[in-house]
Amino acid sequence: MVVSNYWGAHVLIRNPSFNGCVWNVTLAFGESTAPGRCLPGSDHVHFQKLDLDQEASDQGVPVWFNYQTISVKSVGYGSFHTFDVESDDVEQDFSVPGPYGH
Amino acid sequence: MLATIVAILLAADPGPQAGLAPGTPASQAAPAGAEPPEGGPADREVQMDEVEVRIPRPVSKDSTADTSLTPGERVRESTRTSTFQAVAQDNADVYVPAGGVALHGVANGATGGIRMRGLGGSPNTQVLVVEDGVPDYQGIFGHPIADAYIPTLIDEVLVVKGGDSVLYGTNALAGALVIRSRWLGVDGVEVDGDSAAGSYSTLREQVAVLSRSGSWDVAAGFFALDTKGHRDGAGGTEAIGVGAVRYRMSPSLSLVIRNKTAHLEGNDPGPVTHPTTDHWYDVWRDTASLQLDYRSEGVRLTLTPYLNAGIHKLYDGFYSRDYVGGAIAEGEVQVAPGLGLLAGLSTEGVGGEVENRITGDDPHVGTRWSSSVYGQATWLPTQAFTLVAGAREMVSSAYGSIPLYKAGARWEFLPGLHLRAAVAKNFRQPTLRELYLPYPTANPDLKPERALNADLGVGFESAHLSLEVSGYRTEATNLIKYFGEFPAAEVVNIDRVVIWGAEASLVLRSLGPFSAYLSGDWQGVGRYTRQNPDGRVTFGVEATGKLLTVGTDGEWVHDLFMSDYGRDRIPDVFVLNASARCRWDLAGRKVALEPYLLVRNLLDRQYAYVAGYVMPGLNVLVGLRIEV
Repeated sequence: MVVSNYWGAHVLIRNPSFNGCVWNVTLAFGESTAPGRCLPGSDHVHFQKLDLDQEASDQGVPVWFNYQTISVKSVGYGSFHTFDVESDDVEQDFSVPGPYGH
Repeated sequence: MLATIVAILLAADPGPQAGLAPGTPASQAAPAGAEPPEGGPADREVQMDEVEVRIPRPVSKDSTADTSLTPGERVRESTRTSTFQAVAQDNADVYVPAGGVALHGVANGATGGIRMRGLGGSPNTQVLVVEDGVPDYQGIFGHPIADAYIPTLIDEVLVVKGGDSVLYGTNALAGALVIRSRWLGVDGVEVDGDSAAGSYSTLREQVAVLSRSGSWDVAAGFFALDTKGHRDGAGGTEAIGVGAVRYRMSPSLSLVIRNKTAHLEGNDPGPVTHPTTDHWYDVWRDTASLQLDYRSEGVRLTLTPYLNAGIHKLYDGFYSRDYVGGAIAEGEVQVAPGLGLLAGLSTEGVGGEVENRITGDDPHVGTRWSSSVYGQATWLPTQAFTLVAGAREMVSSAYGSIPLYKAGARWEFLPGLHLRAAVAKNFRQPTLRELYLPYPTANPDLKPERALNADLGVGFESAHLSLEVSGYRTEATNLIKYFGEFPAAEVVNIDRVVIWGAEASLVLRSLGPFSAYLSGDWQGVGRYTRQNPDGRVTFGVEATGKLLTVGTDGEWVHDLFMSDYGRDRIPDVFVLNASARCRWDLAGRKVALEPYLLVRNLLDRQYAYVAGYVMPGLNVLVGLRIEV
């Protein structure tokens, strides 16, 4: 499967993941990940988001926030999917695991 | 009577069918070609008409304890991916969550921890692993390394249920896995190689070399695994080498030098929703031991000094060096007909150093020593009745005097039928991590855990049928539990926990070409339900032909929660596996070829033992075993 960034020209997304597959890349508007092989099943597309407009006005250290798609996507064996991240289908992701103890 | 005789013969020499008898009551079973195990009377041979009856020696030091035996061959042929999982497949009351096709991982997503009758878990510190007489656990974290027990040289795994801190000391709170390695029984050389490849670019190699010449025995094994894993971050590699040399100075006196080195490189892949490909760990461990052993009629003496040391490195800068070292001197003597005494002295120290190589923190974890004197008396007032009583006085540098005790009885009231009952007071000292390591939190005021375990069982054994039913109750105080999450986590003693349960197993063997087993466990674990399932069933069916053996096995885990108080329930686990083996003995060349196929998750179900750590779908491993 492939994840594409169609949120907006001012938004970068990085490290998108879906059901066991993660791409350690940063996507500008219109860019896509390389095809990745994930597990069959359902999940949101999770990623980190950086709003360039916001950062320009804050002039601080860039802060990446955890986001996910609102919609749940499903994939099966052998199928190929392209999932677009769009502005009307995103929400903050509070399910990210915290640091762990050993 | 004949059935009983046949049953005893089967138990004494499982032969090629050994793999079909899971959970064999250890008091009745002795593996084929096994070295004399831990004590007990010597084999006796009696002529009865035209039938020669071999009465097997007990393989458990305590014949009244609830035990089962998994032969090494069964572990090697298992469809499961680790030794612990293979043992758990034979015992429904032993729960070991699986971690995919690779290593078991670390931290929240780690699997491979052993739970036995409601105690244990992740990380497991309440079930002790004893490998060739040496208590084996990590010095700081207090748990065994689940991936470090390779099947290559295992002769048998004895599962002691209900704990036995009298014989095994700290950490045997819920039970013990006693692993014994094999030697060659006759002069010569035996080489057993096994190469396999499978899904997810998995490669597995193992080779065992056993030799016996004159007064010298050598046993060496090597195991290597490399896989990309079934999803990003789930891969890993491991390489483990074991070597042992035994010199028999006389028929009754021998010296064994043994060393095992393990290198594990894995990664916590994180939950599928947020995979982590950079949460790596790198572990080196080495265990060295000597064992001086003296045996003559009615007397056994052993002296076992040992040292287990390791280096653990994690992606976040964590770096530790730890050790567990000590010595055990144990003697067993038959003081009168029907009366045996066992006595022992042991001393052990644990310690280590920890630093965070990124932040520069180096929390002090210190060292701790304990010494014990222990004993056990076994009395057979009649041939059919066995009474056992034992006690240990443990003196800890941190907790002072710790008295422990146990008692048990076994009555074989009809041929093949027995009743059994046991009670044991068991103990676990807090780990250095729980006391001092602030990842995520520590509590230097923790008290040691104690448990009073009791069980009652009835069993029937015949040529084609074994049936065991046990009920158990554990009352534990001061169990150590972690609550909350970093940075608000805490680790504390909890007051009192009572666990009730029942376990049953049924084995049908040699019914024509078929054999089958079914094992079930139900338990009430109270409010501490995290990764502590209420019910578990394991099963298997096998058909053996002249060349081909095919089988299927599986497991069902019921009421599995990710939190205490019955919260965060995850779907029941049901997984089915299959295997096929074809064996050719090349006549005249003393070579056997055995190609095999293992199919895991035959139904391609989506399931997980730990929330978010989805297990692989249908996957296969194809291999070839060559015995020379």
